[in-house]
Amino acid sequence: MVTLKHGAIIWYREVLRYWREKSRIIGSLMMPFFFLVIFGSGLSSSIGGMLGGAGGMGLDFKKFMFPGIIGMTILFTSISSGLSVVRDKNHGFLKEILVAPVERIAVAGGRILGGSTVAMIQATLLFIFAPFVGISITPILVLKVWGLVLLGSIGFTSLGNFIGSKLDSTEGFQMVMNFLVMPMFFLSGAFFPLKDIPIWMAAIVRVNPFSYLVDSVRQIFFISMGFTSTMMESLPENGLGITIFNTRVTILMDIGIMTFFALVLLLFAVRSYHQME
Amino acid sequence: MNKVIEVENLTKDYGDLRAVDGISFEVYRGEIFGFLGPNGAGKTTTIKILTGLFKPTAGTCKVSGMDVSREPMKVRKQIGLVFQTSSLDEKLTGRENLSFHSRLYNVPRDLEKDRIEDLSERVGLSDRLDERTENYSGGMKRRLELIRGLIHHPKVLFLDEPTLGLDPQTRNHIWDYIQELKKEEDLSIFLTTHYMDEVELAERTAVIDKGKIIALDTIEALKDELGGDLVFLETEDNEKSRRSLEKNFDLKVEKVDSKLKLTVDKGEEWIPKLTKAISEDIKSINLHEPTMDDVFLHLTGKEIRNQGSNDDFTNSGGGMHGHA
Repeated sequence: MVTLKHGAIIWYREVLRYWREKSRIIGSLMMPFFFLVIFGSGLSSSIGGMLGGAGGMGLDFKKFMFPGIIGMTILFTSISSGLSVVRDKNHGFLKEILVAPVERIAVAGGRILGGSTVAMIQATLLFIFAPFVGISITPILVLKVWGLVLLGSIGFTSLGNFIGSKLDSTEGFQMVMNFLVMPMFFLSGAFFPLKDIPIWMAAIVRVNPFSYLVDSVRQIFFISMGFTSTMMESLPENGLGITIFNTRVTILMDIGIMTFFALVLLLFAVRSYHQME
Repeated sequence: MNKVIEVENLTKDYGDLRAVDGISFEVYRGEIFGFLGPNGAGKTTTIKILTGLFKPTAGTCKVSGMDVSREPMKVRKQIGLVFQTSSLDEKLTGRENLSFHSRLYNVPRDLEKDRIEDLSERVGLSDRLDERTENYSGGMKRRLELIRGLIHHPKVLFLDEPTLGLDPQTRNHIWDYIQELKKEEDLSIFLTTHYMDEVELAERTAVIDKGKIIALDTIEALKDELGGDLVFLETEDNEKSRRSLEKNFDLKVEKVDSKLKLTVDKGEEWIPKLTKAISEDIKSINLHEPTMDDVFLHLTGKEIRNQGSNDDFTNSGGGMHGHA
């Protein structure tokens, strides 16, 4: 009970800090905006062809990319929460938390859920772009997306916190962003259809946990757009879905894989908090 | 319960390095206990063990009767900490920092409010409490951390180099506040420092060097080990004065440069006696009471300010710290 209360106060601080940095909120909406407006508009005609038969499904590049942009926001914001661990280390505030009579699981839990909350808020804000993309938003769609991104963000904030706990400098964290997060983003199907890609790339896509977040959110959007089950079945052929051993990965399988990743990463993160001194 | 801290044979190794080497000491209720040593002597490591952050390699420590390794959470509720470097969330206001601390230490909400009002009043922060701490001066931050460490009524307050990096004037203020606060709380203070003048405020001081306690006593007793005060005397005719002094008193008089050096007990009482015994004109006379600098030099054979430090913060006079 006390541990839950402690977790809640640590969660509250994470969210309060986010709220205090309003420039960060606006700033983090800029990248999705550029992606959608510049890439989306600029590449729509040329990449339209890449979508192949999917074009006949009423799909254009912006609609294709929108779920990927939601995923991207979740990925970047979640992992960045690890940066606040490094910052707290450098500013000394972490010591204040570590010497308090608080179980480490409360520290880890509060921080991870705090980071997830921030990521969820950021992702939700993206729905303001939906009319521009031409996607109609229903409450049920938002709820489903929330469920998926919550699962994804718990995994990725855990990863961010784990990495943050091992690093001492924000520069080091920047390296992680470049060498881990960018490849995760590009090799996930978020940005371009996974059609006719080299085998090595296809392999990376399949072991990349982020791919399954993008895939599940995209499938939810497709269903909401009125895709029939035949259309859903043909997604992988069009580079719009993932197959494992020639089986199409469904939303349920996505959820299963994401849950697995989230649990493993969560375990690592909690352990790293226990090891902090 | 008269002992708030009991440490026995405490040892901590980092790989091959023995940072703390079998130290033992006790801190009594209500006292200020000084822990004096150069950087890297093992002071911070000891604090980290006493607060349950590090597991000791060997030995035991108890805080208000509880074993730190076995019951770290209970021990942590009994202690407050002011760290060497700032540990505030600068994006939060002073009040929010204090409130966050209260929640972590399970201070009941109705008490929390009064306690924050009361403590901030006492250190003169009441009217700045709703500002973000990033706008605070160095001294204000320290004051806030000081009262933050006290909110939950700890039995022991650990002050790890509490005035590091503050200018001399601010340091004095902080010390006034510490003594003021201590009067009204049932509090023992464990103070680590390498400023000699700061341990003068401690009832007892342990001198630590290379992980070992090389002396532990009251300041007076430590100074007495030096054999007393020094009186430096210069007269019209030093040689004549020396002879008459040695004849009148059972004193050892040394010649140092142009002066005579006498080692005596209670130097301030000796000065009038000396001036009467000498018929020559006195050019100058001065009394040097031993400082902790002298004690440290005597014990270790080296000056505290010249070793183990990567920066210039080890100046005991405190004149070199700029960034308040």
